[in-house]
Amino acid sequence: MTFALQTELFFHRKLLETLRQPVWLVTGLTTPLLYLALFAPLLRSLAGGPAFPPGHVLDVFVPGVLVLIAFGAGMGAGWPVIWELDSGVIERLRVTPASRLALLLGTVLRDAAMFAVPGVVVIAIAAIFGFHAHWGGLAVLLVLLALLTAACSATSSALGLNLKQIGSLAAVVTGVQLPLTLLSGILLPLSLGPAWLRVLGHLNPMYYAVQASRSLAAGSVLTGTVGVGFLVTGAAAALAVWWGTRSYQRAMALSLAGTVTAVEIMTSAGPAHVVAEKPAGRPRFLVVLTHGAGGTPDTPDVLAVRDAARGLGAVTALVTQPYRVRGGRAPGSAARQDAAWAEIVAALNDSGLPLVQGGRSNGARVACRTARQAGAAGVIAMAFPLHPPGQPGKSRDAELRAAGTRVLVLNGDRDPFGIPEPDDATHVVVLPGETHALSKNPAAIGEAVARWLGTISGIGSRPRSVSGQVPPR
Amino acid sequence: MTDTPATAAVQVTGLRKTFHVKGAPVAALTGIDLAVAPGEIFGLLGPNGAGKTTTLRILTTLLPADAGEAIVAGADVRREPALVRRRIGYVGQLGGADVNATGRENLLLAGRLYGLSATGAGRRCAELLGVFGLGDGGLADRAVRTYSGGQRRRLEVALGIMHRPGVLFLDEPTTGLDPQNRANLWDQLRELRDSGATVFLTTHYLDEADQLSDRVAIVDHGRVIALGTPDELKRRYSADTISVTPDPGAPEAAPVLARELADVPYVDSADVEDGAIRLTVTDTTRAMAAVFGVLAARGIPTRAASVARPSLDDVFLRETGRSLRDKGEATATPETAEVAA
Repeated sequence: MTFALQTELFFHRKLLETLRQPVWLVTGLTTPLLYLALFAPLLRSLAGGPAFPPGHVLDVFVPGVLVLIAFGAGMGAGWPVIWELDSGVIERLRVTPASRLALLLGTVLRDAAMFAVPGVVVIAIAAIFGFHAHWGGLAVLLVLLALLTAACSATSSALGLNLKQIGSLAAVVTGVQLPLTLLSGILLPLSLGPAWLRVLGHLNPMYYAVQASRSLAAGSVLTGTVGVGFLVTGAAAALAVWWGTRSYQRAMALSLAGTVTAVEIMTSAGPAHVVAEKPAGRPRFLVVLTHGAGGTPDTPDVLAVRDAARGLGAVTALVTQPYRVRGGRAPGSAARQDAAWAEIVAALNDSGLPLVQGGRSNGARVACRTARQAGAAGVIAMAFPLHPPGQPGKSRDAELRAAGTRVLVLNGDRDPFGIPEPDDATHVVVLPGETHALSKNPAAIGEAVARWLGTISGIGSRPRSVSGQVPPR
Repeated sequence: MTDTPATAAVQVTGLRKTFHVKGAPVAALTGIDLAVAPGEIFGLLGPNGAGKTTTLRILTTLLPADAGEAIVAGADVRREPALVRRRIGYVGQLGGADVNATGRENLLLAGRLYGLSATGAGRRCAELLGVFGLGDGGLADRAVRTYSGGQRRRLEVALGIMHRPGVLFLDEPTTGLDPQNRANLWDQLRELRDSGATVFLTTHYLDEADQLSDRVAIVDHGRVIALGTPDELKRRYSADTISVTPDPGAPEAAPVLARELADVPYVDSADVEDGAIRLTVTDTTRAMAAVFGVLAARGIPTRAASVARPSLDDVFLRETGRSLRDKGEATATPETAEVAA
């Protein structure tokens, strides 16, 4: 009873997560529809050939595409697992009485259920273009492929929990994807190939799902092929669920204690507080961020930039400037503020990493004014206050232009202090619906920053995703 | 050391843990012993890598120990992990709020997982949203990813106590918080203690261990090197020091003066460092009067004088020969009272 309730709670949680990101459906559909539109026509000339199963090209091809969808729907599970590992969600849930199996099944059942959406859409579209739909067989087919999705989802979760790093997971998933799909006859029937290829195919569990799918799509439900397909897929799912549950029992985030340090740096304007965070691997660059005039460096926009930089392997530092440590609300003399900032950055960058500095509002101005002297590779200016309060006639665009390096501006379209012009900086992003606070959609800020950081030489970007398999977050 | 409480909330004996990093064994815990009384705030203080998080992870059933015993909230961590999980709350270093869900959804899920009914979880959720100041302006129904760092941390603590646990574990709870949010969290943890819960936290902040914790265990290299109330520890390991800098034009050289001042009543020892005379004293007020009396009688002008109270860092320094403060932290203001010369 408790187990059923826990499974339902986790399923509901995961389902909500998906439904809040409807764009996932679009990406989930693109790949199969492109296959249908661009690949199926190539098969037409092969149809009726010696080794090609009889029937309409789509009758052979659509079941394979459905298997491909199931594979993709399940294999995407590992990415969010790693995010949840890194953000401590899994660790927290592991200390509750929740069953580890229920924890895994929440994702597995969600994926199995969500597979049906692109599955049905593809069937419907294919039916319009001549696919012969045998409805009874297709119903059983969807059940079989939901089981395959479950097997892939549990496998992907287990991979994520054990590999713990996006890059490694991407490498493994892309590494197995091609051989698994080619050797299962998804795109072209294996009967076209030589004997050794067919032998290899028989070692691939997905081959049996594809064979059963073709049989079911043709309307033959009670065949040995279908029975074997269910048996093999079911066994794979059971094995994967066992592995996934076991992995949840031991799951532990990779980035451990000791990566976050809080330090005090003495400057000519008094002590500054800094929370610095080092990545697990070798740091690639340094990102130093700060607050607005009367604020703290933990606002959603600053944290979004921090998270984006962290994801790219940066050492990050959130700075509370000396005047704020003293309790002051106004930064006072700009010269004094800039001098203190230079001292903070110099103290933080003793290993000479490429530097990106930034801040919001008044902090954005400091970052611009000191960029040249600090030798910054880039500046991230959030909610840059273009006009002084109440003086729309006066512009501070000169500060942006004088930065002497690449500048990314992120301003809300409802910022009462103005929005910099596109040519005031290297790249100006205007966020719809946001005010000076930039608090509504930090995810958009994170994405813009990650993309922009990737364009700075010496920083670049790591592979974070595999196309078509990563639900956007 | 300190007496072991009769029925401890946490009782740890001989806890050991070794990790294997690229095949090489790395000892994380080399024998941790400690006991936490019910209803106290217990701080585990130590530098990064001392074994604080590993200890906490073993006590919260996240990690198996290689050897030793740990009884938490009356249950054995190794033999009854499920029972331990039901009785404790945990706020990890990584946070652990689901950022895609709203604050309310996070709390409700936590409540249901601990067996609260839907209405029971709803009531408790509303209560905690009020206590932690998360109930205003629709914040509870916004995705956690839009929260500030302080708001997120408050939610995470609320998540940890949704089911009213007897023992709450927190791993570096105030790292990354600004001073104001930090003070708020301290107050909330004190209230929790006052309502009868036991609070077990790790920290690498000296002031957090000193001011927030009722008792402190200082750990280094995977073992407890000192255990007691902050005052006990400071008294046991370190005395107050008076520092006097004679004017360069003074008739007597500092080393000569230091030898004389060492004989003054209530002064334990004296040494010279960078032109300043450092005196360790047994009674600060009386020693100060006596020392300034001697200086005045000799007509020796002083440029500066100060009194320093010992800190937990002195305790650490005394035990390990190293400072707890990181390089950047070394400039932190010591507890120094400037005295006009």
